[in-house]
Amino acid sequence: MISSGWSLCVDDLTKVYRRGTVANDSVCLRVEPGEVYGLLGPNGAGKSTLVKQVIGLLRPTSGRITLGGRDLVADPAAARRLCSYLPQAQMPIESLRSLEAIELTGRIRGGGRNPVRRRARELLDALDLGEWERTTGARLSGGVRRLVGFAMVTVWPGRVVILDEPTNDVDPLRRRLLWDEVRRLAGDGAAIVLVTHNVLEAEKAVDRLAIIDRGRLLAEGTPSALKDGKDRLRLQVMLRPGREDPAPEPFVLGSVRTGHTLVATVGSQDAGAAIAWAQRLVDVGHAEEYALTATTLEDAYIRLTGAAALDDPGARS
Amino acid sequence: MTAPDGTGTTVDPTAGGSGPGTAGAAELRTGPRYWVSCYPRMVAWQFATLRLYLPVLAVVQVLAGVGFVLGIGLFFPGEVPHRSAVYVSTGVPVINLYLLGLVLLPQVIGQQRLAKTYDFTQSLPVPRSVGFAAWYTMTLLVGAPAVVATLAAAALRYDPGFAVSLAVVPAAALVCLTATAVGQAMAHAVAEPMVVQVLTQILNFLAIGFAPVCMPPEQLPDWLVTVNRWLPFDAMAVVMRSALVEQPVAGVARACLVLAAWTAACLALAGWAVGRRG
Ligand SMILES: Nc1ncnc2c1ncn2[C@@H]1O[C@H](COP(=O)(O)OP(=O)(O)OP(=O)(O)O)[C@@H](O)[C@H]1O
Ligand SMILES: [Mg+2]
Repeated sequence: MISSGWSLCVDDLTKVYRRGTVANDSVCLRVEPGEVYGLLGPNGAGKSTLVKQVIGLLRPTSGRITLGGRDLVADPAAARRLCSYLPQAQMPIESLRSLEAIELTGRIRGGGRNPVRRRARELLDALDLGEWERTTGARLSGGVRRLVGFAMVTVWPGRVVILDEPTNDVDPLRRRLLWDEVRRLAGDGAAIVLVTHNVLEAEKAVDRLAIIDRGRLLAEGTPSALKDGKDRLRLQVMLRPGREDPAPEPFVLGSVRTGHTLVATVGSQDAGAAIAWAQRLVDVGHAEEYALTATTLEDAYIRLTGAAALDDPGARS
Repeated sequence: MTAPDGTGTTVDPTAGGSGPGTAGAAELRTGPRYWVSCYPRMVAWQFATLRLYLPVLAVVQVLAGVGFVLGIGLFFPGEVPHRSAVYVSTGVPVINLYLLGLVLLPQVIGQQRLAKTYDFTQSLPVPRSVGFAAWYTMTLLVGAPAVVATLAAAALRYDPGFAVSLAVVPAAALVCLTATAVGQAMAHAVAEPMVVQVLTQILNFLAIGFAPVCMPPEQLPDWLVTVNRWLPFDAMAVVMRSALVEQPVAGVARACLVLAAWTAACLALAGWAVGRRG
């Protein structure tokens, strides 16, 4: 049974940097043990700022962070021991061999010599890094270096494992291995906080996620709940170059045009009408092709963060 | 909830495991035994992280110390007066340790800040005091060969009448401790790497040229001697000299107090700066 005493609670967290940037604005969230929780948002949304406060590298301007009955803001030493943290930036492993780096951090995290060695081997195999176990960090490719960092952080994990963009530079095959490993960690009872701005990844890898923009938490839920609901569909029409947007139809609930692509949201009861309309556009030579699919998380993401951008155009300057 | 293979992934809250990942929050280990278990692991980490740099640094320190000792002799047209010889011979090892403590940490942290690897180092789950102790250990070990070589060169060149006793070990350790604490304070309290560099340069010049470390105080203006009574350079030199020469050196107890005060103040400043957390 998973004890909920170990959920990570972030309550009304606000971080204002010294020059006045509001990087987090009254954020509340809760991550349960065994759960992979995504923080999704565009560049500068405040994701890294949020997790740095959890691990105790930054002090919140106001708000509370608790884990297992401990106040992590007041006790950053406990935060460092209870949480493992993969920063967005590089790891200091220039002169360390991969296996050695993983073992050293496992030992520093409190693991015994032999269990750490076993587990480090396991991780190297699971991530398919065996080839580089004796290579020093300075000679590793960017993606392998990133994976070694991931292994360093998870070799002897804390109750909470914070991963700030773990898949940067990692190839698609090893990304899958990494997600398997993340899932295994959650299965063992860790609460995983996963920072990303890759919507597709978030959709596949997380149990729940928060969409953050300009420091504010815009929406939270499971990926399927955050999609625009089951009663909506996504109609994508490739217009011929130089054509205007077609006249709006009553069943189109919303549309966005980027380049020659028009993405419209339609109610599922209007699927027939939508196809007929799109086919007519192709027949008259206005469009080249079209596709009607289920809505994706990306649609919700663009709608939410795009709306935030319209609300508040000067905020990012 | 226990990992099938019994490895570190176990996070069953009821299991009183051996690490932070496995211990319950109420039972996070603290106290001297925990501290002692963290210390060798942190030392291993720091040595490994800097292994390409430390041997070079140790050799450079040896060359600089020996070169400095021999070079100063050239300032004197003929025979080096005995009093000057004593000051040079006992002062240069102080400068050795002093520069190392002052420069090493600010440089490494500055470089980590630029390379953006500082966050990870800071997030390691050890008490900050363990980090400092590990750092101090490393500074001491890197500086030791230079102190020995410098003293040997000075003994051969100037014959200052050393009466080396075991007291030189705690003396060098204290000098190194204060220097490391000053370096720690600068590295953490001054976030800008460029400013740290300028500051260390200024302090280097002050220590070498404007303090009674390598030269007797009567060669300095009175006001400078007075100022130096409150700065760590003079105190370091007094402590070191007292452990190396036969004649009693005045003001050793006071010098130890000055060093203790500087060490405490600098560690407090560093602790405050780290605790400020952006
Ligand atoms: N040390 C700092 N001092 C001042 N402002 C900062 C600092 N770090 C970040 N910021 C600002 O805070 C805001 C949030 O930054 P943050 O790094 O948390 O974003 P992010 O969501 O992680 O973005 P990315 O996806 O690009 O990593 C940005 O406007 C950024 O410019
Ligand atoms: Mg970030």
